[in-house]
Amino acid sequence: MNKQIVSRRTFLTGSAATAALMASGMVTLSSWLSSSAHAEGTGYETVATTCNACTNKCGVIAYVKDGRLWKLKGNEAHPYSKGTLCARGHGYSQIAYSADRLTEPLKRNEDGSYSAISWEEAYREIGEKVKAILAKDGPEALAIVEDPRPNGKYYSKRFINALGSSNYYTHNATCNLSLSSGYQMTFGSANFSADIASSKLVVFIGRSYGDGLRPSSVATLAKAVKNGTKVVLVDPRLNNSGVFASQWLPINPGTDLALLLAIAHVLVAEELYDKDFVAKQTTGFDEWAAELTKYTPEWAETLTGISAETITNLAKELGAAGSKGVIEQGWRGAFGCQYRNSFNAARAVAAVNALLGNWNKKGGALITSTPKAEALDEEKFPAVPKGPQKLGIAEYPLQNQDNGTNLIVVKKADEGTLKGVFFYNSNAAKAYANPQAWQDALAKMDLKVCIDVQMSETAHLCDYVLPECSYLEREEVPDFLGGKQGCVAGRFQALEKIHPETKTSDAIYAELAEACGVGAYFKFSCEELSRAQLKSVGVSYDELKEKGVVDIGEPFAYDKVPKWKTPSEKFEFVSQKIAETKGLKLYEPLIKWVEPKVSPDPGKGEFRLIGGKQSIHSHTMTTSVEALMSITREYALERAWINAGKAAELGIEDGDEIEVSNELFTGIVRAHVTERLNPTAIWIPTHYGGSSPELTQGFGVGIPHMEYVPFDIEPDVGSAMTHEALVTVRKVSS
Amino acid sequence: MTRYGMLIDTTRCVGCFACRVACQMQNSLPPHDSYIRYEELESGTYPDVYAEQIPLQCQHCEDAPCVSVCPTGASYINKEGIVLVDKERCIGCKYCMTACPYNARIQDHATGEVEKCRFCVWHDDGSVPKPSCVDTCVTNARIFGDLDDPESEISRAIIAHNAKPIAPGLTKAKIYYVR
Amino acid sequence: MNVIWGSIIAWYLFLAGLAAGAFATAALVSFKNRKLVKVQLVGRTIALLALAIGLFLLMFDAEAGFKNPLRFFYLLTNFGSVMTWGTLILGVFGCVCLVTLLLALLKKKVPRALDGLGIFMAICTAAYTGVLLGVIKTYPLWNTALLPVLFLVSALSAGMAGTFIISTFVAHKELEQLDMLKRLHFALPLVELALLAILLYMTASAAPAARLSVDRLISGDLAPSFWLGLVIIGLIIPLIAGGIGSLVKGGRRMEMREDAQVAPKSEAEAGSVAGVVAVVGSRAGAVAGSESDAEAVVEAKSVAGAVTESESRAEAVGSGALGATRVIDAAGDAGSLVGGFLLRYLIIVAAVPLTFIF
Repeated sequence: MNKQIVSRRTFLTGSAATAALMASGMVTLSSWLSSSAHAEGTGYETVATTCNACTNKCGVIAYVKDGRLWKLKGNEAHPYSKGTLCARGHGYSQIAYSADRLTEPLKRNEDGSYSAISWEEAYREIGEKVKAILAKDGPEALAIVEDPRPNGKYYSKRFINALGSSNYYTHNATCNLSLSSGYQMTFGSANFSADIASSKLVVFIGRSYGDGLRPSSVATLAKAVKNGTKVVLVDPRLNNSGVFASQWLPINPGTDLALLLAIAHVLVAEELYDKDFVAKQTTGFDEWAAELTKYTPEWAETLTGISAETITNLAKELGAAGSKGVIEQGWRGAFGCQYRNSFNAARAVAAVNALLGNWNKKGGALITSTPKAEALDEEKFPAVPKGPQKLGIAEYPLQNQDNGTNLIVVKKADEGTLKGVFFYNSNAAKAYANPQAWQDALAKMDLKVCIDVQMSETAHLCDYVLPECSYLEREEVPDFLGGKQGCVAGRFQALEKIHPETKTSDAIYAELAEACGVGAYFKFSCEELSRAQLKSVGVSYDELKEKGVVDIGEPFAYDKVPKWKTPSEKFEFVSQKIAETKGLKLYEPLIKWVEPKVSPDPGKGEFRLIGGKQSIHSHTMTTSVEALMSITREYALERAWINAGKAAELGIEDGDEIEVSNELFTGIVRAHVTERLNPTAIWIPTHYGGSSPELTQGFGVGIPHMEYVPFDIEPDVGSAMTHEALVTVRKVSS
Repeated sequence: MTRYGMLIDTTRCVGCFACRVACQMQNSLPPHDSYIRYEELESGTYPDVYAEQIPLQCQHCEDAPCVSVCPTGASYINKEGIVLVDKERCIGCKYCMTACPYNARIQDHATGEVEKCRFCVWHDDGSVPKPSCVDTCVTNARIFGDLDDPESEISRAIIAHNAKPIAPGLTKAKIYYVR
Repeated sequence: MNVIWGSIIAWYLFLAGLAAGAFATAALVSFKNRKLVKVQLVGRTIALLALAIGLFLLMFDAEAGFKNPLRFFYLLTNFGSVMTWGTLILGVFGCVCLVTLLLALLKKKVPRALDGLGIFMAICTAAYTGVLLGVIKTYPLWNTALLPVLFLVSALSAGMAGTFIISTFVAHKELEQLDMLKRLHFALPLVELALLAILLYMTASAAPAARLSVDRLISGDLAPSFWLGLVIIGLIIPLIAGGIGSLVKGGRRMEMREDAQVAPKSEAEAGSVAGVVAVVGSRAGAVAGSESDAEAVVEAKSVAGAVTESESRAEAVGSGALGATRVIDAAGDAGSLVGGFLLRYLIIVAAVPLTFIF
């Protein structure tokens, strides 16, 4: 069935603790029984902290009874949770008690198994290897990759910088790198937010608040819809936000750019755009308007599968809504990283909003600011010298440079120039790009270190695995959040450390730095850092600890002209930065149509494989949690979606096992036969197909999306192009 | 009189399962046991499709089959209209489970006793209960309150949305659905 | 498929029915000819034993009560519950079974009135097991007035089968005098078949969920157990066995003193019939290998195993034409027992809950 999964089952010999790790992911009945006394009465303590189940990091109140977590509630004061909490937020808390957690440092043996090692030994050996790489290949040969969380954003970056390298990368190349890069090239910021609560018409492109869930976003959407906001969903799949939509446009995947260009065409041709805004706040309009004449709704119809009439009507409705019409900003959705045109799709989203003149208008596209800590005491928190340019920026110059493209790690390791890599809170080798490519690249490196709470697939490829304690057992640095009201949220320790040999990430980084000879940059505790950062913005540490969230600064004010952080200091229909950048391979200053990399040939039985989130999971991280995986199992959520008409042609019935295959991978999964999917696509949730045997809950459930996606990088931008994969499907005969 | 009921607005439900997991934690249930389950309905044909998620749990019926079949009187309706199980009387015969048309009851695997949603009646601070499913619902698709109070949020919402029990006429359920 | 009650309850329903039928058989024999004490004793013993085992299973399945036995006293609190009626009925019936068995063992006369009461309670017991399911609206397959009648007929059939199959070994001479009861007993499957057909037809046309239940039985995952186990082994074979038995016996009367060569032949035939039963029984098991009724398969196999065993013993015991008939009868009886269990098991597991969301 799944050859790679089987062949990777080489792990763990020896120690008793590792045997216990193997034992089982099942929370034992007795442990639940012992906690059932918590069901009634009072006698609990509450701790305000933040969730760690996804990047939102919502504020939560942890209810602790007798030292054990009873339950969580959303923190009313937090802008993302507003008193509520999603399933993964509740469920992921159980990671603290998971039998699958890492409990001691591990070192990889020659045969691929792991043995326990003391922290001191681990630090010493890692330190020696880091120093050897620094001496031989220089600091540029080191990199760090993470799923950013408050501590990571500070400590991971500081650690790699302290070593003299700028090679700090996040998961964003498989998330929203195309989008944030495209936005920077049009309006100068990495994102905006649609003011849905006050909009008349909102067009969602590939994004679903009901699936990639942030509680306050979906609450706002629900409320807006009740108040009359019209919602149009553009998505090959009728996603779980469908209940809010008055119209579903099941677009052919990869053609969102065509739809947006055609909408722009109509807005310009019918003079439905905001001429005043365009004249005063933008550059390059005339040139783009000339380009747009090509992109008629009839042209777009053939690509998108959406009728010219529907496109024209939508454009006219947007035009009529004016600044209260908005194309929602997206996140990963359809143009965060998926296609070899996502960067231009993002620019087109921004450009259509510009035509509507909705920037910073009530019901439009808002550019809000995020507060940040001011400079700290240099003595206590010495600044780290700036290193050379981050790897990947030269090859992918249009990227949002903050988070970089982690795919360069694979490329440079493969080329032999990158020698050492640290992973923190990241399952990069499973979820960021083709796992085989990661595996091959990492095999060529001298040092791979993973810091995590569980034995991820990435940990399996590393020489050293350092166990962090769970987010409920640790404090982190403050999390500064932007929005209509800026604020800071705090993560505070809710539970005593459960496994004595685990450590907090700040301690791990400080001690690692010491071992690598750069400990001087880490002579402070996490709490000291937090206090200093908070003090710099006038917030009391104790107040934050009590409330979990404290507002900072003035609320957002409508109708202020945005500060366009572009070279021209205007909204750019034609990008000056792109015009000035030499050696680009794909993108041009004008926002033009770009063909996706691949296109399914129905005659050959090909489908485009597309993936998406489910609201109960985050990346692959939560598939180790029994409370969440039991939902997956009970409702067969790992199934691959196939259009009902196509399924009938292939003799596939709902629940049948199907083989999904391409040149890279073949997997077997049950089919979800549905009318809710564009017939050219197969949709799978991107969380599944776990191949780490230690993560007993997710192991072998479903098929792994990234195994099907060839390792490739969006030219000029650096995204993983996760939907540029074709598959064929057949029913598995019983 | 106080008569507690709930409203679930499926036109706001994104099927996120938050209520299930919150309920499990509130009640310290094991991961595979839940007081809330879900039905998914898909209607229409591509591309004119509508999908609906319907959370189901004890409907706190006035005409409760579980109570009428319970041989030991363990299942009962309290004075506020909430259907409860007196675990001290439950023999675990599961007759109530077969009788519940909503399949809303589960058996505690450790004790054999039968349990189900109780509207969080013993809410932690002793105040008027706000069930954990209502508390955590990210779209505010659930309203809990007194059906006998015409001014309550739930009473007004039931009238405003013409909410009805999921199976009108079946058991006089006190959970009302907007669909 | 969410099955709340499983094979334990099916066994209980079967054993309660078996007890009721066995008691009724004993009492009817007693009414017909008090002197046939062995058959009566067999019937009364089966009744008490089956009831005792059944009740144990029932309590075992009621896990919370099994762990806290005092809670069973609460069983007499809700007189609106069929299970409470059942508790009362079983209580009275159990007492009657116990007393009549003791009297029989002590070779005392069982008063006619007591047997009369016993028969009434036996009918109540058998019917109540049907009412227990019949009042449950959740499952349209159960929710019919026909179910108590079907269970009643099946109980009588199983009770007679159980009594007669044991009596074959311990009281075969007495059995000779019970031809009419035996013929009646072999006619019961016909009634059952008719009731089953009506039940399924009625349910299938009632509601979508009921239709699904019927589909599962007739053509779905449970079809192998239904057709091979229940219909063929449980109902058709007893019918055929009854038919063959009648013919052989009819023939025997005429050819009583004629060539004895016939006997081995018919014995061989009977043996092969028994063989077929066993094979079909185990094939029912093999064919019905789908997950949902794997349990039924195991149980059907064990019943089938018991049948084969009793047949071989019957063969050993029996001699001549009489022996052959006994084997055929035993095959029919064994079939009835298999059918009695499978009927209840399949009705329980095939039940698909009401669809109420549209």
